Amino acid sequence: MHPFAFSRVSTVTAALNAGARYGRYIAGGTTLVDLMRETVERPAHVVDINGLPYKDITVTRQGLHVGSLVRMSELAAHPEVRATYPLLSQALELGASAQLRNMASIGGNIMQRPRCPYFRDVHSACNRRDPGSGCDARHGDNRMQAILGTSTHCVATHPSDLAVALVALDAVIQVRGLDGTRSIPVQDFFLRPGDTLQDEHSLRPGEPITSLTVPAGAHTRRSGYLKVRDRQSYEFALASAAVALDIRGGVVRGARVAVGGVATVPWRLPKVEEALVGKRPGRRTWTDAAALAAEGAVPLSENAFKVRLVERTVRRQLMTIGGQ
Amino acid sequence: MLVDDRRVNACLTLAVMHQGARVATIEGLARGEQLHPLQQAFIDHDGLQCGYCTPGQLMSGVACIAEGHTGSREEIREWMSGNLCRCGAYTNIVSAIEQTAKEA
Ligand SMILES: Cc1cc2nc3c(=O)[nH]c(=O)nc-3n(C[C@H](O)[C@H](O)[C@H](O)COP(=O)(O)OP(=O)(O)OC[C@H]3O[C@@H](n4cnc5c(N)ncnc54)[C@H](O)[C@@H]3O)c2cc1C
Ligand code: FES
Repeated sequence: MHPFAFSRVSTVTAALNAGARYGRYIAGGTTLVDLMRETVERPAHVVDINGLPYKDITVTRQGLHVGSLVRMSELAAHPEVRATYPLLSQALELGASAQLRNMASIGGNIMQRPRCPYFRDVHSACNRRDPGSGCDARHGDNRMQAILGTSTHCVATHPSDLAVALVALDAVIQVRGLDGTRSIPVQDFFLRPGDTLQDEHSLRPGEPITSLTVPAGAHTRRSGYLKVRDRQSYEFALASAAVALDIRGGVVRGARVAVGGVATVPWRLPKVEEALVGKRPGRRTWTDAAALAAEGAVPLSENAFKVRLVERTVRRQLMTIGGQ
Repeated sequence: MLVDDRRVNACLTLAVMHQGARVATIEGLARGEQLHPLQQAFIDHDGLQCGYCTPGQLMSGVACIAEGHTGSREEIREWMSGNLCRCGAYTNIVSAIEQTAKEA
């Protein structure tokens, strides 16, 4: 680990000032400390923001409001979240481990960095870590990499399970800047690997995430997360599906579907959703819609299996949530 | 280890972030010569071989029991899945936690 300065802030103003002086925020530390030990991250100044007042969970008729410093375990176990937004509880509890979930914050989860082994190894070429150095993953060990939203610069999947659920539920992220607050729809928050790879998200330097909101709706109760992985627990997704359905009068009125483990950003599937709305729930509907899940996929040498896998993951989760 | 009674990974946090917090490690589990019931259960069930992972298993197991995630062997396995055991003592670790939870 490289030497670094450490300070703690307890007011938003102090955080913004420290952030403006290129301080790096730390919440749970489960991404940042890990990457600092690997020397992938080398911040000169780490700013502990755990003293900020972003720790509330409120559920109202309008929706869910979650402070950025709420821990993964707290949000998952919240009784109203479990009952009304089961997709969120499941996406959280199928990720990481009990210890990590006690530490990891919601803001940090959204901001977590790629898990690509070449990103984590400072001796490999990686455009994300070292822009312009190339991408060793593309023609290397690429079994875990993405098949959707990739570019010649980067093929790393987005690792967050929570973010997949948030994209499906149209969440909005609130951030605080020096000139006030702004809201970013989660769909626009994550940026696909383009020419400026340093930009993984639309947060400006020094802007803390303060909270996120998830709008209420008839679909949130009938929702859930399926995560398919190499081992049953404590592993990132090969493919995952977040599904929320509004079924009334024997017809699908609304559908939200997003997938993880296969794309460079949490991946919403509007065409799958369109194929569901207006149909009668049933095996035929689920199968036809899920067949569109991998549209546009560009597999690499070792991950073509993800095409069928993501289709089947979506189909199975539609069956689980919608009934067969 | 436990920080304010919650299990966390010591390797991923900075000590300076926990000033004033109540920190419990394996050294604080026994009361003098009297082993914690989970420590005794690890001995009774052969819940260890080389012992490398054991401090982490014990601290995590204590928290797992306190959280109530011990309804079945499957539930214990899922909620202990962050603690790897290179020797593969998992089956006996689950038995030790199961027994201790029942007697608690
Ligand atoms: C072994 C392991 C397994 C894991 N498995 C999974 C998994 O299966 N699924 C999954 O989804 N995740 C998984 N994770 C990732 C984990 O969920 C993240 O590391 C965690 O959520 C990050 O939160 P944190 O509070 O610890 O972030 P930190 O490490 O404190 O911060 C991470 C980044 O976010 C920035 N940041 C933090 N808070 C804010 C804020 N409020 N505003 C602006 N910037 C901020 C920091 O500056 C830093 O760059 C795993 C992690 C580990 C170590
Ligand atoms: S007892 Fe040897 S690693 Fe678990």
